[in-house]
Amino acid sequence: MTIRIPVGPQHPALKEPERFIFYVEGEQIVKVIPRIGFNHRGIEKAMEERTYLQDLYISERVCGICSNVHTACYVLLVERLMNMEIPERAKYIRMIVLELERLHSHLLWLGVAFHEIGFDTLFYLVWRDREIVMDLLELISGNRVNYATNTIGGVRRDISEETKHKILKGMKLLLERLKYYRRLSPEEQTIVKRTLGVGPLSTQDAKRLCAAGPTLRASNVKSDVRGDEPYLLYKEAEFQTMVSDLCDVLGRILVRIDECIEAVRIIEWCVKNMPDGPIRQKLPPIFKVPENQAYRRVEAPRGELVYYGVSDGSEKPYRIKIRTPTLANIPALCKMLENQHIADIPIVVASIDPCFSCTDRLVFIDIEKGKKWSCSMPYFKHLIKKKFGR
Amino acid sequence: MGITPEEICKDLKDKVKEIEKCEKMAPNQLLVTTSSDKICEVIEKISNNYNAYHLSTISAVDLGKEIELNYHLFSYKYMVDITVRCSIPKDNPRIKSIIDVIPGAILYEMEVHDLFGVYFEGNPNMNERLILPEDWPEDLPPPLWKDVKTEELRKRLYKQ
Repeated sequence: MTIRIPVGPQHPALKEPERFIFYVEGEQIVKVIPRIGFNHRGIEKAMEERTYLQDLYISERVCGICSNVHTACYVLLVERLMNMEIPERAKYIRMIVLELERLHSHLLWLGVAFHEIGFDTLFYLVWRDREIVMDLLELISGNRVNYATNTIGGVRRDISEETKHKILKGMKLLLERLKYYRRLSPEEQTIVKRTLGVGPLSTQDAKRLCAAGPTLRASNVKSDVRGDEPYLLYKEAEFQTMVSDLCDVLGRILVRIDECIEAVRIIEWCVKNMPDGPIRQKLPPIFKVPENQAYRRVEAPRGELVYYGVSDGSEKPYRIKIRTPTLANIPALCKMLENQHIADIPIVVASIDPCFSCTDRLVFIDIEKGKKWSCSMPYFKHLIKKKFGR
Repeated sequence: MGITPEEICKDLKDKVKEIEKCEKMAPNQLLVTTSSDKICEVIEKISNNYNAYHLSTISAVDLGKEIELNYHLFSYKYMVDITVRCSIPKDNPRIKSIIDVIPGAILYEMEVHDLFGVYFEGNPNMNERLILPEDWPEDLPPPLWKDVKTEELRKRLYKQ
């Protein structure tokens, strides 16, 4: 007998509103319908009605955890629309803040993942270590959330010699901790028993469903925007793409820890090689952008983030299109949950590092065995009626 | 590596006859223009020949009388972004769905359907909402059309 279990929108596992309806047979999931769309704010429309500089602040508020990567992608887009070059030093500062943000986001996720599998000791330890990064971000920008570092034409805050020294000291400490987690994760039985083989996503499915970010790389696809199409100075920093061939939740944990270690290396490289010079090219608050179109991709902590912009010669953009990484990973998430156990739902859902504030979508998906993986609501209602007589 | 965007463009035109125009948009970015009825064939051929299985998103732009659709693909063969562009009339916005070629496109098509009213023939979720609430009035125009003003939407939706 199939039982329907609605979970959310006030979700017990995640701190954001979304709803999942699970159809289960005994302990096994046969169907899942995610309904996501409780937080739509109309940001794309709002951006068309404001000036380029005002939009910078809107883009920062698309997401709470990865706010800096949104402004980074937005300023790269506007700078390409204007054919503008930014000072060298600004590129280094942007990269340092971007990678610090990736560290804090991945460590936050790692803590949540350990919490979901019931390993709260590690959750506390990881979040304690995350404070090293949070303190550094606060030191650089003055904020723990929404750093407001990037601006069109450069960055708003410089990094002093003293801060540089503190960053290097923090990174050294963090690297030791990260190496410990990297060694521990594939060996500790509490982690392995709950994650190995759970939430599987084959390489072929990951490619077919256009997954992004660590979810894609944990399915053994070597794809990272920083390596494929380097922006800022990732080419000069000799960025390495991390992959795992495990194709499950454990793979996603290992890929994220590896990426943290790589992020520490990039931050150290940036701090050591940073040249002197100006940090921004000043622009008036209201400026016109010539008629143009641009497309930019950057690697957010959760995966590929895409901005597409069209300008029409005025001081407001004609169109800004944003695609956040969680949306790209939702079809893959539904595939992962197929034939899994109820007890594994929280960790599998958490394994794509979902961020519904920036995604905010809604979809009906049917993953019944042998059926098409997606269907329309009338057809779906028909299926349910046929199956349960209601 | 070592191949210039112009050379890739020439190669693209040779291999995919349906392409009308191919130009360089930025370093490592190509813009390919085609007609809307050939979209599936073009995307399938580019996807197969250039290892471009990854669709980043579909961006729609309201151009007044037409709606422009941009399919952003990434070619792992040459490490370039290939944007496939086509236009459809705004008074009858219909186009073939590409979910048979790229299954990951399903949500992006639903998003464009919600916000621009474009109907993707072959996508089974076209009667559903993705972003807008279920009680969104049927007679309201798609919200991201240029002639729809936020103030009017607000008046209609909140009746204040």
